[in-house]
Amino acid sequence: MNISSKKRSAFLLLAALMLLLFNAPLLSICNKIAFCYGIPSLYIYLFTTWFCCILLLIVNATFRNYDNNKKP
Amino acid sequence: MSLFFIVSCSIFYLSLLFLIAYWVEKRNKKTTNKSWIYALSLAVYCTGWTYYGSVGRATTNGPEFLSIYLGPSIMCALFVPLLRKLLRICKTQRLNSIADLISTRYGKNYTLGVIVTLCCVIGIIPYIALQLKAISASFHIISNHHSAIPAVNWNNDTFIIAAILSLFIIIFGTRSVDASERHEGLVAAIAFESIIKLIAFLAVGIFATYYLFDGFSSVFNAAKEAGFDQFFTLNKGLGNNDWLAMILVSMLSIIFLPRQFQVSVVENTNEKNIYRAMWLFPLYLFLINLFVLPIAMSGKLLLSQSVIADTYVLSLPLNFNQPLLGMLVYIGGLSAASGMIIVETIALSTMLSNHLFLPFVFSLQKAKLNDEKSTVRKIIYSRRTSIILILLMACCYNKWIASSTSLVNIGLISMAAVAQFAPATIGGLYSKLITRQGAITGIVAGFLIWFYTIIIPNVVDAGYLSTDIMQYGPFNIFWLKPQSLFGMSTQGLLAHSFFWSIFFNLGLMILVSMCTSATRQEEYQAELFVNIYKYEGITGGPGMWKASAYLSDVSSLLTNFIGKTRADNLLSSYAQRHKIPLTNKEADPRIIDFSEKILTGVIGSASARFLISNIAKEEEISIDKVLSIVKESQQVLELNKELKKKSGELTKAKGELTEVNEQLMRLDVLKDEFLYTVTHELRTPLTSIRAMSEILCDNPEMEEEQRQYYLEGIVKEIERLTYLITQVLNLERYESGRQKLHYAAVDVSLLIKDVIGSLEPLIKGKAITVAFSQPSSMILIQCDEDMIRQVIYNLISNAIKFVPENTGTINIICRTDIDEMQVWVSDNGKGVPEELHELIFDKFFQAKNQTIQKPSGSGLGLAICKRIVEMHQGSIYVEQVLPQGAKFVFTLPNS
Repeated sequence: MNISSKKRSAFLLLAALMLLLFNAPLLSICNKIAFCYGIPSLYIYLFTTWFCCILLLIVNATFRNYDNNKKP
Repeated sequence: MSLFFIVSCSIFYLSLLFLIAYWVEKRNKKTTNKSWIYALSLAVYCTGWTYYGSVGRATTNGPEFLSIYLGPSIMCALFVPLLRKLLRICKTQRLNSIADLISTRYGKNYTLGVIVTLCCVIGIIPYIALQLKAISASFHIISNHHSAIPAVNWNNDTFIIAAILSLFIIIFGTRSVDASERHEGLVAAIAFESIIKLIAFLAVGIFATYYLFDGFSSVFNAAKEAGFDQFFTLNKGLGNNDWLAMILVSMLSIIFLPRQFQVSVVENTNEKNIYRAMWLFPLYLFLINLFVLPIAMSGKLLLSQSVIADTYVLSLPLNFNQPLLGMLVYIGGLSAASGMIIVETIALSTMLSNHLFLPFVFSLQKAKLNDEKSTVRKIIYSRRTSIILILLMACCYNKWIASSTSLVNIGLISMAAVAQFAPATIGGLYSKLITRQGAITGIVAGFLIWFYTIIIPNVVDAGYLSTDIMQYGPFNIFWLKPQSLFGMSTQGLLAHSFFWSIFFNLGLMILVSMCTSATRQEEYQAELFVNIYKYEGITGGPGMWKASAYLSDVSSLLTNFIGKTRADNLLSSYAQRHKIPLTNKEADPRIIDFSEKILTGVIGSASARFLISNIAKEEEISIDKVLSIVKESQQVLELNKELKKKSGELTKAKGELTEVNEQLMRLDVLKDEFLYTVTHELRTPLTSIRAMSEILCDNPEMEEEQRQYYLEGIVKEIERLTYLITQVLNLERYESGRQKLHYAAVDVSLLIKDVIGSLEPLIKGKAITVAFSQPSSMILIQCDEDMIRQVIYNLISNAIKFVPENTGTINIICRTDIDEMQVWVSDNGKGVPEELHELIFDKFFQAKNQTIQKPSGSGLGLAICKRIVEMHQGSIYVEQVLPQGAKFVFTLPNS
């Protein structure tokens, strides 16, 4: 099972993106007592972003095919 | 709830785990979809600390607890670059613990194995103790609630729980002497536990959010009105970097915690399983954390202040009279804690016995190693002793230390401890620069700093040390204060400790590595680790040692550790696979290498190395030589691949050649046939001419009238001959491609009318009707006018030839659409049988098939038509017309 370097770097970039999304400068935008439909903004931000990242992981790990002829 | 009910439920649940483990080990292994089990078993990460502690942490620190689960989710994205490589290495070298991995990377070094093992034991025992405490505390709460029965002694039930769990671990964890062998039953039980704890936690979450309140916004509103602002934001975490530190620490812990290493690397059955795990595991973490904040808020809002926040999960259902839900929650907590204890203990016991006990035993009794049964027994006993010892240590920790130490952060502290292995491991995976001394210095320094900056403050908190050390530093050296080392005081406890420990760990590791050089064994391992993918497919791997040993010694050594039948089976199948003769007295180096790997799986790489070196006379060869051997086998492999590719190409080329050859032969036959037919066709008029000329020659006194008749005949035959030769020459010109097309815009209907006009004598002669339905508009087509005229001429004259006299009718239709222009020439002649629809366009078709009466014509007309139409990128075909007749259609493209 060989994995194309494209796929490897896609995962590396995804990890870097997640580190950015879940840390200080971005996170501090939502880190205040504000509510959206009665739910705190930080809570909404963390969980929706988290869920989107999981979707990206699913797409990358299961469906996305960088090798053209090989299934991952 | 009655004590009896709770105890029987607990025992029933644990027996269920036994049953699952037993059932999975017994049945056919192929039927399970292991990637799901693998992904779920990773959720052993969620311990009792997650289960009860997250809510407690959320009560004081708000959403901060999420960082411990976001970190692993980020790490999952790095599974492909990192975990895959680890898996590959551990599988090829049969490594079975993190200590084994690090010691093997740095030249199968004993010291490193021991250091890593000790760090793990010191770092993890409190964590196991915490789990035992979680079980006993939850038992305490559920049994004491609304019940008069006095609780069992707090410390005694930890011992009972530990005893039951150790029984389970001994039965399922030490079955085989080979530690690198997978415990499939056990992993299935762990996966099952993961499902149970998720269901239980979601159940209590839904209960708190939708039963006690009206959904998320209602809980959040209530908390907002009560002024619990701490739930909504990260108070300090972002500012003092604790949040970032927690993310990083938990990222590393998902690989380096012994239990995580055990489930994700040692128990992995297939590399591809990580593709499911890398999204299913974060999804699991997502789900289990969804309700933590609502539960914490409900607890804080609805329960009395005396209830500890860590127990909200259990207290909520019990306080609101939901004993069954309470029971489910208790079982879920039991799952979370017992799963962690089981896997962690197995991982730690393997390390402890392979890196501490067994080397000690072997060096003491070097001579007595030749008794098969006693050696195997020794290993198993050493592992079982380790298991009991670990659980005993955890119990003692609970009894004497934990009661006075704050336990809130134990999980994080353990994770920070194992994070110290990250620089040496990750550095060792990707760089050959790091040496053994560097790794040792780094790990020891990092671990000491960890101890100093995070354990000492806890010890001081517990009152074992004076608080002076926190305020003024040891011996009044202010820059050595444990919580603000070198004056760094703005960071959180964890961020501070993590930064300094990793800083010194990494810094010293690199510094020392640059000042020392690696041994040959280390260089060899570094090459194998860093370039693991390069050596894919090289069977057995090249031996580092050119060892010479007696085969009998090797096989008896293996027999001692894995039993005679298994040793014989393994050796003979390996020899067969690699075509190594087993009849020689001396063992092949590959056999020695293979045996070392088998032993590594049983007792760890350092011990295996030691034992092999006892029986084998070794000649250390230089790393260059090893590498050149590796390179050679690699080249052979590549050459093989290339040869295979070349041979494939050759076969393909040969196939193509054969095909071309066959085509040529077919063409040759066609050409012969053509020549034969042409000469035959030419001979017919020639024969007539000769006959008539002879008649003329022999009868000089022939009457003028008769002479004229013969002369006319001769002229006619010569005309026919000329026509035939012209046709053949034309066809040849079209086929060879020498004929150039002179394109011009041609009005096709005009052309058709023209042709009909030129054929008028023939039409009149046969008294037939020719109808041409003209299109409403002019049809202009880009084509060679002369050639298309010939096509139309040939088709109409053919039709005239075949229609009956007097009653014959010929219909010509010309029509056009977007793509092409079509001309239909249909008649009511005898038609063309279906099977001849293709053949009719062949050269000399009618000549070849003349049966009764030879129709006039050369037999080349339709072949020429086909050729001309094809030169114009059009097509020509014939259709049957009902009730009688044929319809010839040719098309020309419009553009």
